[in-house]
Amino acid sequence: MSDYVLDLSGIRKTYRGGVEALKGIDLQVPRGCIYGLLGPNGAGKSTMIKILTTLIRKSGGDGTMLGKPIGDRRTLQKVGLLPEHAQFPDYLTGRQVIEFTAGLQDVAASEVQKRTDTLLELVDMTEAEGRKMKGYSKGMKQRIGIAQALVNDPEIVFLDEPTDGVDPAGRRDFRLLMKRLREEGRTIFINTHILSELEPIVDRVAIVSHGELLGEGVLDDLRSRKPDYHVEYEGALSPTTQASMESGGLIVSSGLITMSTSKAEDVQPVIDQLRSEGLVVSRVERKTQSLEELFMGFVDQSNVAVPPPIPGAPIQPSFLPPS
Amino acid sequence: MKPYLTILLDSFRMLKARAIFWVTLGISLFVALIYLSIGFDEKGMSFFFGLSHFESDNFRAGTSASETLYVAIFTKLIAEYWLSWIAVLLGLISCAAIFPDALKEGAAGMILTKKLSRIQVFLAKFVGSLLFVTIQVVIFVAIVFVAMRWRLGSWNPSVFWCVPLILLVFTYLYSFMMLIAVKTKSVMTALILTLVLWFVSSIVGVIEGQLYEGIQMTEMMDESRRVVDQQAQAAQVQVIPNGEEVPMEEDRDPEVVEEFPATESERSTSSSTLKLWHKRMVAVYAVFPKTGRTMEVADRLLVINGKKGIAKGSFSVIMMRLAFEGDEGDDEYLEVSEKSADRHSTGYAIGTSLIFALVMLVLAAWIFCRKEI
Repeated sequence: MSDYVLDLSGIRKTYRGGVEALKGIDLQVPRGCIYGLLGPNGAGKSTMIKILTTLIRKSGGDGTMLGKPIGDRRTLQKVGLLPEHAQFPDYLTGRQVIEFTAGLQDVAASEVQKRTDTLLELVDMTEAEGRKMKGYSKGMKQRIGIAQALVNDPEIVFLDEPTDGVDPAGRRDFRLLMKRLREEGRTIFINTHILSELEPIVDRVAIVSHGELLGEGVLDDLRSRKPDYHVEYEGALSPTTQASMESGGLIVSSGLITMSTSKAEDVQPVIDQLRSEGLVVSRVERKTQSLEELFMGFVDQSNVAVPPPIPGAPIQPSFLPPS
Repeated sequence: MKPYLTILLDSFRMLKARAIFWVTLGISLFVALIYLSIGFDEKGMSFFFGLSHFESDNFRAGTSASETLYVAIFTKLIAEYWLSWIAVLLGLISCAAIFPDALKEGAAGMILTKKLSRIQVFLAKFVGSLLFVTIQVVIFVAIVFVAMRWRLGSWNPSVFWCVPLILLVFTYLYSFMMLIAVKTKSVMTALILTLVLWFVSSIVGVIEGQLYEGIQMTEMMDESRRVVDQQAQAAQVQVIPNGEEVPMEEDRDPEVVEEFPATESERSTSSSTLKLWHKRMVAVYAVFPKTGRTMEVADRLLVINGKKGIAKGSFSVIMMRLAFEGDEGDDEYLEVSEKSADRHSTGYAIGTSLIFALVMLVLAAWIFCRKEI
């Protein structure tokens, strides 16, 4: 059995009309992690979740979920889902919505009430459980949505934009809940474009844009790929040294030198130079990218337009200077 | 099994949450109450629990005519108009949104991503929709059942045949509505096209029935004419339709000959044309759901005066027959009307309609299962 709860290879989706929503996605999601699928609107994130939960069919590629081929109905019994823009029956109460999902997932009758009580408490909706969904705020609906996604004790939970419309307190609760679910050994697959929500809790991320996977991996590793060193100093740097540093690719501003490197030894000559000029080095810090910077870096790269080849022009190897 | 029951329970909750469910139930109860208010006594009939009285020798308590009339009011007025038109229409309106709602992006994720396969969800939703009509009709017919016991003095369980018949009528139309609904995801489109289908199928049925009655009338007149002609031939005179006797062929007025197809070949041509068009209409009608004909099956199944199936024809026909009791045989219209009511067998009317419904359901299920959300 695969170690991955999700093991996808070359997943493609082309909608009617020729729109390519996914262009061959390879993805492996390990068990028991919080996995973030990031991407701008229209990147293909929801399409991916829809394929995994059988709302749409893939056009190509293969994959397994919990060791079974995608689309296996019995596997879906071990899956929880909060769809994007979830619409719950407005004539049901919060409790009834959770019980409704429990019924659909064939949860044993003896378990339903206990689990529903626990989940209502978990999402802090016990007091409002008897009110109809139509009377709930967006945030309350999302809380019930998360609770119903967990009622079948799922091994993997898909949450599509889970904090959409949730207030700051709700978002904090959401993060705590995700951590708790991870501790219980569940895999949480979160699809969002609100990066700040994900950053404190996510283990691995995949960045998708225009249907392509731009980057994937452990968040810390990805952020470390393009680190900066910040050297803060007190005093005035001589114009000659400043010019020399700038010509070497360093960014010099008042009291701060920024170097794009991951190696500490590269920073030493700069510190030596500052000391030799009698300046005080007050702070040296290795800065990693925020999730947002990482995300924007990937997305910007993918958005760089590649000029189309001129018809009839000879193909030129990229390392040769243009003729 | 539990997931099925969950969807059924949800369908019931959804219908219960809609105002139209209660409005329909309220109107049903009102109509049933009106029926309950009709009674018979030694002098005649009473309406509105005795508020209004109508003296009649025929329609008194204990007479077979009053029993026929009371049952005919139910089958020919209430079942034929209220149950098979208005209640079905309200049922269609109530259930029109079930499939489009289930296919909405945010809602589909709640149901279609679970253990049940799409075909199972489809069937569960379909059965759930039938719940609406079943509940409404059962309540209504139960009141009628009690009313008959009260007013006629005996239980008549045959009225419960109306429940499956109404369900059949609803199924024919709802299956088509489901097909349009899953294809377009539009409540309005599904509802409007279903009403168009219903209207067209009813019109086709009426035209086919009129042509059939036309043929029957022509044949009867033809037969009468043949007898009269034979008698006239023996007497060396010719009879024109107003009963006048004129000399034989050589002296006939050309205008009279033109206006009345007096010769056998002329009459035969007219009858053949009718038969040809009737044949064509039968072929067209075969593919349509036969809502009216299905409800008429109730006439054959309902027991009146201890006998099955005597309430043929329309309400007015039954009233005429009751009025002409003891003088039957004079009225050709009654005979034609009864023949017309029997022109299609129960098996044909329900069988061809069920084939229609089945084709619609299979197509709708196929689209539902393939639908990308």
